[in-house]
Amino acid sequence: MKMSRRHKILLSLGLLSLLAGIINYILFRPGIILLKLLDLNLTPLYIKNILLKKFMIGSFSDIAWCLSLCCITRLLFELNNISFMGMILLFTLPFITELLQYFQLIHGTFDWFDLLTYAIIIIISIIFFINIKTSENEKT
Amino acid sequence: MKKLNQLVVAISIAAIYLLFAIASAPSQKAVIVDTRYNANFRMSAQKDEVVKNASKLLFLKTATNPTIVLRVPNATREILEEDKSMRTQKNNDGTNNLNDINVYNVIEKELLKGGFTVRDRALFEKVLGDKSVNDYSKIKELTETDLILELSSIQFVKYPVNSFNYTTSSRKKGNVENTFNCSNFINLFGLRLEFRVIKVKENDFIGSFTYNYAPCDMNQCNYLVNVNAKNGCSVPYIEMGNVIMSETRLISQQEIESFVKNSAQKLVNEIFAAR
Repeated sequence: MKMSRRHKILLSLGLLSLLAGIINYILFRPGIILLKLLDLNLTPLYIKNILLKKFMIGSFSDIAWCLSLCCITRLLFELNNISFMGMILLFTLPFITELLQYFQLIHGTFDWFDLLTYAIIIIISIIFFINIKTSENEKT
Repeated sequence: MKKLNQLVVAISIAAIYLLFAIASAPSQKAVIVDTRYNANFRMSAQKDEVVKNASKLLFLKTATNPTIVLRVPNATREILEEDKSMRTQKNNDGTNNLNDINVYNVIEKELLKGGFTVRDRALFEKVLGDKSVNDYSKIKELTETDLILELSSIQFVKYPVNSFNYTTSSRKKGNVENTFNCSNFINLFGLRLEFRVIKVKENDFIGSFTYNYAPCDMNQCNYLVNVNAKNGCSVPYIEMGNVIMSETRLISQQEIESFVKNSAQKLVNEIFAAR
């Protein structure tokens, strides 16, 4: 399957975001289920700056995960692999995971700040992707 | 058919990302996440150990100025190269390490104060290095030394702890001291100094003296400790500007010298107790 440059960028961004999130867990928060299942007893790196520490431990990987989901969803939608409704449903996934955490159906802590962050990322990514598409169309 | 395919893809992607979300959750429910405590530690040093043959020390009663030499581990310094022998080794951050020559000077000073005539240790090592000198009695002749004080070892010793105290303050209760129990053991470092005394004339080992130093023995120590979600405690540390000091670096050079000085004083008192 031949992909356009735009789709290659979306795929790369999606995969790199996911990778960045995993690396962040390995470096700063190795006590997650995935790394415990792999039996990796890693020592987290110490971050002196408290704000940076909170961001890296609490938010960075969530942001990377959400960004990755947005990129991959958008890519699949543009390649006609998912319908418009499927795209909307996938965009709601971050909120569903937070709700599952709220009802303690999965591990983790429900956080309003996370919900706000996901909403901002999804809105920004939709606007950003539309802008890119428009500018690419103008070029062609 | 196409709609079904699209549905399958959407569900697959949702499942994959949901799996990532589940896998990235903490393996245990968080109680306290990465909290920094002002931790207070207090502990007792291990007991000093003195083993000596008092009868072999009786000659000190009649000796006016008994002579002694301090023999140090791995003393390979050449005499006549005074620059080398007097050099003080310093770590990059300015703290001294245990091989610092000041430690030996402190002991020799205390021996002098105690009434000993202290022989030059570099010259003594030179005599010992001579292959023709294979008997202690010959050493006595060549160096006119009564006793050899051998510094067998000076080393850091771990003092493992799994709890610390911290203070919380509130309007109603004022300052309240609480105890935090860590899920792991963390090490504070103390020191152990071991001497051996040998009577040169008779080739006799006449005493072994072990002195211990615990970091928070006399005064309570106050260090910072990070506690993670699983109540795991980090090594205690202090911040000095941008530099973080932990483990053996928490013991200052002054504390090391003071410990060595006190140990040497106790040693002199033990040796001269026969007088």
